[in-house]
Amino acid sequence: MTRDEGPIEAFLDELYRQLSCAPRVARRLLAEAEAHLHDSAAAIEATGVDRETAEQRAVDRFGAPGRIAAQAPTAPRRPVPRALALVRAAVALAGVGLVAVGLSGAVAAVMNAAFGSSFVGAVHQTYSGAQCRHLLAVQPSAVDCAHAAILENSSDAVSLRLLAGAAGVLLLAVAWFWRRASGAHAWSTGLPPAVLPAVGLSAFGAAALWLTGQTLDLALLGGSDGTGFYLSGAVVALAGCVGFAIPLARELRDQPA
Amino acid sequence: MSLSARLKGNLDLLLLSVLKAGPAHGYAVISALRERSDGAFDLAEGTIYPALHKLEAAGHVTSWWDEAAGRRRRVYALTPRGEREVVAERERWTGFVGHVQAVVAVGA
Repeated sequence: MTRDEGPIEAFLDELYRQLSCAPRVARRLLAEAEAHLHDSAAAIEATGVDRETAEQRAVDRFGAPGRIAAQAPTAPRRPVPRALALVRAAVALAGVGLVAVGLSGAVAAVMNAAFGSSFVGAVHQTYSGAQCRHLLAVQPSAVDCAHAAILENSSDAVSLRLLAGAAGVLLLAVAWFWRRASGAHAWSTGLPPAVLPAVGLSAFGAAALWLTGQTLDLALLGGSDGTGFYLSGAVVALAGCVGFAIPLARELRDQPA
Repeated sequence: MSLSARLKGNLDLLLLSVLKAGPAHGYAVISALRERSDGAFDLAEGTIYPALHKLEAAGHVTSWWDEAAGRRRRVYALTPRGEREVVAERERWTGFVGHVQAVVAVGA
């Protein structure tokens, strides 16, 4: 184990997370704690114990991070910036969600091209006479109402989702420029760093479960017809799960034991 | 009352008394505290930093960064106000201990 991964580094990370004082006070306290812990570990190591044990003893003697943090002067609470940071993060998450919908539209377009419009568009649904007249009017190449519905559904699955994706890109741009204008560090919300990826993973996980269930339901009802409508979304939702699971795992791994 | 609670109530006096001997960084302060008390005052070492910061905010100590052996350490020293404070606190403490001793010694 290197010193960069030892008990002192883990302790300083945890102390950093728990400090709620002014940035300058926090930086000073962290620098003092680091120097103190290394001095203490060096003195303990000189008695003949290995480095990791010495660091752990130095950390134990220093006291719990929460206790030190509780005694540091608390910075004046700034509820408005924190609330704005949360709104900004929510806007960014909504943007990611809409971009995912747009990507599912692109997947649906690929499915339309690869497997025909029935794979995406043959959603099991009955249409009234008025709806049929409308579908036949917007899909003049269709031979009957069912065919017109398939063409319309497969087309909507692409165009409407791509439109949502464009809105998502717009939201992400708004969130990005907002963050830059406010001088915020990364997507800091004042909450533990694992919260944002956990929220993203939960949302995409729920979407992936529902869409996969719908896909299987349709497949059991009518074979491959219409399964692409939900499968295109399930594929992207699962990819989104992976995208949020990686930073979440990284955050949880970095948590001190 | 536990020893740590008693220490907490008198930590300022203990820190100022250690610094009376001369400027020192936090690790040296806690080491001196332990040595002078024969190991009895073995408090959580990190707790002295917030206490030192409060003493500095009160104008009793001043501090600066000092670099030695490739590591920066914050060195603390008494201000003239801190010098007066430690004398006054010591007198208050001595008086308090004398009064407590006078009370508890009766019938001992």
